[in-house]
Amino acid sequence: MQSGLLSSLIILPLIASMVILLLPESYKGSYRWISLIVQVLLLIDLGTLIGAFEPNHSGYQFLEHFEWIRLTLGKTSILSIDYIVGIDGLSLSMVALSVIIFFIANISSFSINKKEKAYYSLFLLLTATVIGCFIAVDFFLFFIFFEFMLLPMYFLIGIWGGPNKAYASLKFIIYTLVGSVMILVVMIALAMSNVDEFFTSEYKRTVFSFDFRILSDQANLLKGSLLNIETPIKIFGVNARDFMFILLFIGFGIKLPMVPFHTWLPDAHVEAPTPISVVLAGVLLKIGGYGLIRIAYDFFPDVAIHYGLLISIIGLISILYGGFNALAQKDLKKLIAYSSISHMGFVLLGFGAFNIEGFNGAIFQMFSHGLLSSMLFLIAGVLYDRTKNREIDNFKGLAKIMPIFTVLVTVAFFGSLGLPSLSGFIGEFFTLFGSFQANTVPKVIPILGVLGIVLSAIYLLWTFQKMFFGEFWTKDEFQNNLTDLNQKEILMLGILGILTLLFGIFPNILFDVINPTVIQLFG
Amino acid sequence: MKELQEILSSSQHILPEWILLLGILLIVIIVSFQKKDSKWPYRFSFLLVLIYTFSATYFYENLPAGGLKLYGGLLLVDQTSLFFKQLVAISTIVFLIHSRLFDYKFDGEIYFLMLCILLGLSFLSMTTHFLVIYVALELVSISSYVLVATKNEKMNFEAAIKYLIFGATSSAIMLYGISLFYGMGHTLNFAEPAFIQAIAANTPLIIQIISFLFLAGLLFKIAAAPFHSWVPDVYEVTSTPIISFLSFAPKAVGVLVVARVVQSNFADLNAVLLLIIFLSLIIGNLAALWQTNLKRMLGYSGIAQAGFILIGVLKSPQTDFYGAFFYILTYLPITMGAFLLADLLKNLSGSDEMEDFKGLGQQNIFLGLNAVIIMMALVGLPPTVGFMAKLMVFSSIVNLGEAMHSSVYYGLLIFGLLNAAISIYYYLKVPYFMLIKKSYNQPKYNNDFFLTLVLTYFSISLVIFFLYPDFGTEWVRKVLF
Repeated sequence: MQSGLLSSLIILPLIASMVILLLPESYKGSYRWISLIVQVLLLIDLGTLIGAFEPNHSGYQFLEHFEWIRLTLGKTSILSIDYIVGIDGLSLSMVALSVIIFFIANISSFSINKKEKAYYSLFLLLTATVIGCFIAVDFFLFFIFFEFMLLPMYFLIGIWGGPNKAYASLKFIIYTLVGSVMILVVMIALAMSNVDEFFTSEYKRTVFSFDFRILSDQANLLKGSLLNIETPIKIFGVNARDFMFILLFIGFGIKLPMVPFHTWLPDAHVEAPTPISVVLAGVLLKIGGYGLIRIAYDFFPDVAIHYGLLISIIGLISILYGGFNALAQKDLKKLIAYSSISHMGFVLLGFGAFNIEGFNGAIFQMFSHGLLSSMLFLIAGVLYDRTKNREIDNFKGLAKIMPIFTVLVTVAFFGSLGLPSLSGFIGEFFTLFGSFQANTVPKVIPILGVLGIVLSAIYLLWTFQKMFFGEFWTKDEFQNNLTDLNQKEILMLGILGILTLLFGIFPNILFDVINPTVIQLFG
Repeated sequence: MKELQEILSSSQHILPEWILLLGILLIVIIVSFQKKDSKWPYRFSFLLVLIYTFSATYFYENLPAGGLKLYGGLLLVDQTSLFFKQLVAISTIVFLIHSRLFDYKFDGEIYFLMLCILLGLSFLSMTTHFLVIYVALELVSISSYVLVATKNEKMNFEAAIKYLIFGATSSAIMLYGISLFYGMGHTLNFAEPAFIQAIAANTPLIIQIISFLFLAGLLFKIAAAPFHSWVPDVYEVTSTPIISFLSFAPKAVGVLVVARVVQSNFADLNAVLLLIIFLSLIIGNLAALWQTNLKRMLGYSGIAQAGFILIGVLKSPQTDFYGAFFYILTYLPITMGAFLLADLLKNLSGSDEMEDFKGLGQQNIFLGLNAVIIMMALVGLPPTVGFMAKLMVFSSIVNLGEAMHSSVYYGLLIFGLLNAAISIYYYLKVPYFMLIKKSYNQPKYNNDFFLTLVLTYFSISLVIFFLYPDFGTEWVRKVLF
C-alpha cells in the first residue's frame, strides 16, 4: 500500500518553501499564512496517520518504497539507495511531536518581522528535513535529512539570532557536523557489510543496502566483512562493532546533547529567536535519542548490552551537571537550556538500563520533554518580547499583573520538575524504574538520579518564587510593557499545557503506541 | 623500415591530436596576422576545442579492451584516457565560456597557451612511458608558467617566478627519479613486465623512495603537499578563468598518471600515498581556515581536495580507482562553478576579499542560494553531488581496510571525515558574509541577471547530479582500467 501520506509530510513543506522563495516581495504578508496553512495540513495528515495506525502491529507501516539510486561501486558491487519511508510506534510518536511543535513554533514566528521570505522558506525546509529524519527507513535517506537540517538551522540562528549569533551558529554547525561525520563512518561501514540477498541474486553483483530492515537483521552481514560478528576485526585494538557503536553514541550524543559534548546547546539556545529555540529543544534534540534507538541499539544490540553502565553514568553526569549549572544561571533562557541537558540525561539513563521499562521511559521522556521545554522557551519568549530582557532578577511578583501567564508557567514548571499527573513525572519515573531494574547498573546510579529531580525542583521553584511571588517590581522601563498574554500566546501555551496534562494522566495513549516497537527491539 | 611502418600506422590512430596540433599552429598564424583585440583567436579556439572533443569521442569509440599500444609502447590509448581527454576538453570549453561571460580581453597568445596545455594533457593521459610523461608534463608546465605571467602586474611576475622555480625543481626531482628507474629497469615503460621484473630485485624501501621522487612532478601538478607551496600565490593573482582551468585539468590528469603507476603495481605505494594524503588534508584545511581572500582560500581548499582525490588511488586487491575517477568527474562542475562564483562576486564587490561580500546575497537571494549550494558541494554535504563523491571515496577506504587488515585505513577514514567537517568553517564564510552580514555600502555594479542564471545552471546541475548519479557512475564504470 503506497498511500503517499508520509511523503506528503515531507513534500508539502518543501513545495511551500519553494513557493515562498519564488513569490515576489509584494506578497510579503502572505508568507506566514502559507506556512501556517502547511502546518495545519500536516496536522490533518498526522490525524489521519494516527487514525489509521495499528498499534499492535510491530514493524513499519504506511511503507512507501521507490528505487532511487543504484550506485555502481566499481566492477563488482552496487550500493542500493532507495527512497523508503515508513513509521512504527517510535517514529509515530516523534512525528506527532514534531508536527505539533512546528505548528506551535509557526504561530510563535508571527513575531518575526525581518526578512520574512527567507525565514519562512528556511523554516519550512527545516520542517521537511526534521520530519523526513523521523520517517526515513533508509540509512542514506535518514543521513541526508540529518545533514541537511544543519543548514536551515545555521541560517535561522545566524540571521535572526541575538547579538552573539555568529559565534553560536558556527559552534552549532561544527559540533553537529563532527557528530554527523561519525555517523557517516558508521553508515558506510554498515552498508559495506550488509548484503541484500534478493537483489544480489538478481543483479549478479553484490548489492549493499542501506535499508533499515536489512541492516537490523544480522543474518545479512557479509562473512569476513568489517562488522561481521563471528570473526571480529580490530580497529586500533578495539572490535570494529564496538568501535562503530561508540562512534554512533558520540555522534548522536552531541545532538542529544550529553555531557561533555553539550557546550553548543546553551549558546545556540540563548542566541536563537524564540520559535527556533522551541524547535531546537522540542524536536531537534530528540533526533539524537531517536537515532540512538533506531540505529545504535537496533543495529548493534550485541554491543550495546556491554555499555549499559557507561551510558548510565554519562546519563547521570548529564542530569547532575545540567542541574547544578541551571542552579547558577541568571538568564532565564540559559537556565532552561541547562535544564534541558539535565532532562535529556534521563533519556540516557533509560537507555543505559537496557530493558523494556527503561526504553519506554526514555521515549516517553523525550516526548514529554519536547512538550515541556517548548513551553518553557515560549515562556522565556513571552518575557523577552515584552522587555527585551531575560534576567531572572529583573522581575518580581509577576503573578499580580500577569495571572494567566502565571497559571501556564505553573503547569510548565511543575511539569518539568516532575509533579505526578503531569507528563514529566511519567518519563522520569519510568527511566528511574528501569534503571533500578537493570542488573548491569548499580543501584547507586538511579538513587543519585533521583537527586536530579530534587535539583530541578530547587532551581525551578526558586525561579518561580523569585519571579512570580511577592510584590510586583521590575525596572521602570519595563513597567508599561508587561501585559498579560494575548490570544496567540494563550493558544500556544494552552495547547502544550493541555497535552502535558493529558499525557500525564493518560500515559497509556503513548505507551500503547511505542510499546510494540520497544518489545520488538528486545525480542 | 619496419619502424617507419609502425610510426605511420600509429599516426593514423591519434587523428584527433593531429587535428588539435594543426589547429594550434593555425592559431599562431591567426594571432600574428590579426589586430591585437581581434575576436578571431577566441572563436577559432572555441571551434577547435569543440571539433577536438567530438572527433575524440567518435574516433576512440571502439577501442580494443586493454587499449591500443602505439609507437612501440610510447602511447597507450584506452577508454580511460578518452574519459580524461573529454573532461579536460570540457573544462577548456568552460574556460572559454567563462572568459567570454566576464569580458576578459585576453590576447590571442593566451588561447594558444591554453590549447598547448590541452594538447599536453591529452598526451599525458594516454601514456605509461616515463619519457612521454616527462615531455607532456613539461609542455603543460611551461605553458602554465607563461599563462600566470601574462597579466602585466608585479604580483604576477612574483607568482610566476615562484611557480617556475617550484615547478622546475619538481621536474628535476622527477627526472632524477626517472633516471634511477631507468638504471634499474632498463626500460622506460613502467607497464612492461620486463620493467616490473627488473625492479622487483630491489628492496621495497628503495623503490618507494624513488617512486616518491618520480611522483614529485605529478604531485606538483595535482597541488598535493609537500609540493603545494606555489598554490596560494598563483591562485590569488592569476585571472580567474585561467586559474579555474588550472585548478581542474592538470590535477585530473595528474591523478590519472598516479593511478596508472599504482595500477602497474611495480611498487607498494600506499605508504607514500598515505603520507601525501595526510599532509595534503591537514595543510590544505588548516591553512584555508585563516584565509580572507576567496581565491587564496580556494587554492588551499584545492590542496585538501587533492588529498581526498588521492584517497581513491590507494591500492588494494580489488582497486579500480572508481572513487577517484568519480570524484574528478564531480570536481569539474564544483570547482569551476566555485571560480565562476568568485568572479561574479568580484564583479559585484570589486574585490576578492570575503569581507567585501557583505550583503550581496541579501540583495539577490538567488545569488546567495547559489553560493550556499556550491560551497556545500565543496564541503561534501547532501543534497549535492559533492556528498556522493566523498561517499564513494570513503567507502573505498572501508573496502581497503577490510582487504588489508590494517587500522591505518580506518584512521584515515575518520581523519578525512573530520577534515571534511572542519572545512565547513571556511567554505561557509562565503555564504556567511553574503547572507548574514549586513552591508554598509551599495554594490559597485548592478546585479547581472544573466550571470546569476549561468551560475544557477551550475548549482542546479550539482543537485540534479546528486539525485540521479547513474549517468555519471555508469560513465565512470565503463572507463575503469
